[in-house]
Amino acid sequence: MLFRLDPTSAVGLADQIAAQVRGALVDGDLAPGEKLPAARELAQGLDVNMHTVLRAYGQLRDEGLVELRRGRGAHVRADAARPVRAAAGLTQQIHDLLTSAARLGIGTDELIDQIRKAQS
Amino acid sequence: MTPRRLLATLILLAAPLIVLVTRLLLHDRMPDPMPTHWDLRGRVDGTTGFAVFTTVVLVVTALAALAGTAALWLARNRAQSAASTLLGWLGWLFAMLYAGTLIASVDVEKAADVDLAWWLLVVTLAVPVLVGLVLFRLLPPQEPAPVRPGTSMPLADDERVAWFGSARSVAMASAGAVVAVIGAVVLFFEPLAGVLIVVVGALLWWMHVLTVRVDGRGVRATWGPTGWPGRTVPLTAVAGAESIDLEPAQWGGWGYRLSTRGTAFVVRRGPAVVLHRRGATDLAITVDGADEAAALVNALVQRADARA
Repeated sequence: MLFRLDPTSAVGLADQIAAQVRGALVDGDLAPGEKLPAARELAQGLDVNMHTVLRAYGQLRDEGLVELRRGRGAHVRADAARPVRAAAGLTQQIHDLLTSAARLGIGTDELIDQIRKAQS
Repeated sequence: MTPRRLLATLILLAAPLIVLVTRLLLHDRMPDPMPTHWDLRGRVDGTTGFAVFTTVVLVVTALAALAGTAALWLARNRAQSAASTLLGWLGWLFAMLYAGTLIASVDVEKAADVDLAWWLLVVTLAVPVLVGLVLFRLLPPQEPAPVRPGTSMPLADDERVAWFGSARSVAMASAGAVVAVIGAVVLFFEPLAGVLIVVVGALLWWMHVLTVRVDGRGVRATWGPTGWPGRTVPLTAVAGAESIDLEPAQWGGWGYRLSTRGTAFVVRRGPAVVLHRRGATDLAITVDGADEAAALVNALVQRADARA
């Protein structure tokens, strides 16, 4: 799969990497059980610190999308079936929303208020 | 590099000229028919009329010279222009055999009396080889292959990209496993053969997966589940890329292959990315998603060229 990083973006590099994996999951480019690139390889390819990649992978693990095992690398969880993948899409949209809001100078609380307002 | 090519052309065209000049200088001092074949003990066992002999040699050398010149000037790649080396050797071999025969026959009354001195034979055979070597050195250096207008993708100037792909063959993995098990059984009867078979099986299994990474530095392809062994082609060595449906038979089979088409890393039939390398043959790597890989390579090459 293709990873693209925009170093000039306000979004952190680790967040960008995580976003790409979520996107690939939603699009079906990454199938459940599939192996993600080794952290070292990805870090070399993108010219970022390996810890940045590991932070991104850790984030994905916390979201229940990825399994990290010592010596085996990162795999998309086999049970990351449709609902989970749809949730990944939602997570990604939330991230995008937060980014756009931040660009407009809208804080998280204000954004939540606006979401509530939109609902009523 | 036109001066080199001109010199090579002159060398090629010299072969029929040698025939003509030798004929002009020596034709009235020749026995007719001419000796044209010697047995292993050095006795003449074949003769040909002087005119026929001259004509045949002249036609062969002229054709070789023309074909060699054509190969030199019309070739689209180094492999094709290398044909001029072979044709040059052939033309010069005939020319030298002709000249050698004439020199050996000077002022001899009858063909059967002609002695072929060993030094003459050595010179006759060695000169064409030397000419071939010189021609090979004079071959036009590989010109950078023009970037084929393959697919590309938009790429921002400071964007960092990395593409990962792989290709695997269940058949190769199974074959490797089976061979390894057979080897393990043989081990009990014939330890040495068993070890060898196990090693071959393990090697086969190891090579059933190929991983490819494309990034700003270049293209890296690695065999096996870990990152070793592998090959990196720096981006500067790549003129462009395209994605093909690779047919193993056309690239020499499965595994690490060398053929006239170039080098190939093959684990299965199907999508592969072909790197057109500058100053070298193509490198084909089987990988799923080869379209995207080729597009990214082209985009990276174009970006690097634009920066330079």
